[in-house]
Amino acid sequence: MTEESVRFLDIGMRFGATVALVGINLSITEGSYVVLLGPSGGGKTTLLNILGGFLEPTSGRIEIKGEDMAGVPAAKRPTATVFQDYALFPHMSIEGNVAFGLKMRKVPRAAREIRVSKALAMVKLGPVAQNRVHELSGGQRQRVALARSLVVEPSVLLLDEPLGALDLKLRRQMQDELKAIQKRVGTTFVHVTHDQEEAMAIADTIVVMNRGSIEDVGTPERVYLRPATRFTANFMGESNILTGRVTEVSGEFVTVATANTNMAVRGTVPVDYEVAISIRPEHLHTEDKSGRIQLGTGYVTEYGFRGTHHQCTVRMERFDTPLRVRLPQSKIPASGEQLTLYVDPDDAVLLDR
Amino acid sequence: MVTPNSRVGVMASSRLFRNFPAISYVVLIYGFIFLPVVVLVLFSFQDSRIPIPPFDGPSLKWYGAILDDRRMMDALFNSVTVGLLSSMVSVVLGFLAAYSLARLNIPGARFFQGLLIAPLTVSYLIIAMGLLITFTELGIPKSLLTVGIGHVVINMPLCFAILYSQMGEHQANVERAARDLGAHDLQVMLLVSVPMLWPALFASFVLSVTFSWDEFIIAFMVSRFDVTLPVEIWSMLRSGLNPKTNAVGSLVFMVSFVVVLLLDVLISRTRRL
Repeated sequence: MTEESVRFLDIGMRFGATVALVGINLSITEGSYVVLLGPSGGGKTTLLNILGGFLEPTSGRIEIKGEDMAGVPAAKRPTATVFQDYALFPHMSIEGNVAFGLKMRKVPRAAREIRVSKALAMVKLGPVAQNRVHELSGGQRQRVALARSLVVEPSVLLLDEPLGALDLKLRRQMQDELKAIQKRVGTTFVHVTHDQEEAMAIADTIVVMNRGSIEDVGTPERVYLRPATRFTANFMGESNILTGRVTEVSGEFVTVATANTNMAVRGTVPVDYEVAISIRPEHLHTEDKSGRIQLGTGYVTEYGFRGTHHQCTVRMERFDTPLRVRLPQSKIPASGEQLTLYVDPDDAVLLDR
Repeated sequence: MVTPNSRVGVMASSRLFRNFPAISYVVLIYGFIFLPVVVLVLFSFQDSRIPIPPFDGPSLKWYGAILDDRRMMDALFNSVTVGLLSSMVSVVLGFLAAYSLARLNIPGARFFQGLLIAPLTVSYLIIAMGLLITFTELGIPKSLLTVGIGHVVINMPLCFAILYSQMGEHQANVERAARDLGAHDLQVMLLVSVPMLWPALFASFVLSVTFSWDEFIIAFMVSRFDVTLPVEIWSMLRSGLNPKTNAVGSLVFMVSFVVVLLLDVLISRTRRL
């Protein structure tokens, strides 16, 4: 049985008339890397601030390792935060920044020095320990912020869009490093981002948030391959959404009649309900194989080369919206080209809402 | 080999000609601003007893006379004391007011902010009259202390405005980080807020000192036996112009100039960081 690190119980938050969070229930396993993913205004940063003790929720309760956090200020919580703008102390050396939390905890000098140098070594900043903050690059500042928070050995480390200020290449490099450090120290990390690629690369668990509530929770594979909702399907990469009506229920499968074809997909919805099915662009194929079903034919309206694949927009007969399709590198599409599309029923996902 | 150089010369002179109106305007403006100061300083080096043309110096004897003048030196000492102490009080009060209004959720914060800055718009004469009436009503005798209080009244709003403007979102976030790492309120203020605001604190202190140093009306109206330098200069002027007044005026100007220069150097250094 894995231990529970953080638990949100029916958290609600409103700022005056604006509702920021509604009915948030979430458990976070000890030592896991959790990413709160969603568009800006989705409530993920508000949730992080509530966990860090910077905001008091209007309703609900938070437990960290089973202890109620109501009324416990940020300074007294077993959490530490890596802020979006890093919020480093500009008037102190790098070492001074990292030592700050230990000084506040009255850790004796000798022990403090050892822990500070260990923390700096972990983020590979030992050689610049005496430098000032303004002498460091963006990536280095990010590491200082990480070392400063980790050195106080929090139960939960909160990261508020920690890579947002870095350029793309550095961001990809830092995300691997973050993941490696998390595995090494074993601390629970709660990381907020709006970058779905970043979320998939580092998370053990992704929590998709939209409009103040949780849309989906699961491993990156689960959330990407079997999205629970229409929002998740569209926010995590691209998706084609087909709508239809349930015509038959048999065991774990339901048959859905869409504009062009009948499809049997996994799910439990009563007959006659209107439902939506998500199909990823890379799951649409131009050749028939056993088990695949035909979706119908259409013609290419737009296409472009994306390195790993050709991205096409295909307008289908009788479909309201065009489909997005990924063709292999070897298959170069032409404008107006006729395509017959097939899908494996296992790749078609019935959405909850 | 001569051609390029002379071409440049011709071009430069034609540009000078084209810009003639602009240049003469600039000369006039600066002349208008600085001519009185130049005249003041020049005739402080006058040799004869009357500070009017023709100039017959240079001589340092009037500076010597100032340094020998016991009352003038007392006034100088009073000015420095009042300037430093009133500025310190202004900075501390201004900082505390700015910190609480910027960081704590005080109901009506905007109202209090306006109330604190309002004295900046009131003329020194009105403030001086108000102080005089208040001190008389309360039975507080006129002294250097009352002058100092007057200078806090005019300088504290300035210190508040400067410091409040520096306590932006970024600094608030850094303070939040300190709190997150376990610092309590006093530690946040002393270990993070004050050191981060150090340049602004110093700048508002120096500005306060220069304002106090030059201030006449309040110092004149609420002082009695011990007076500050501007008041002493004023009583000297009543006995007519002589190069000694020019010399002391130049000294006052020089001190202000050096202090402002110091401030400028400090601010440009902080910007580079």
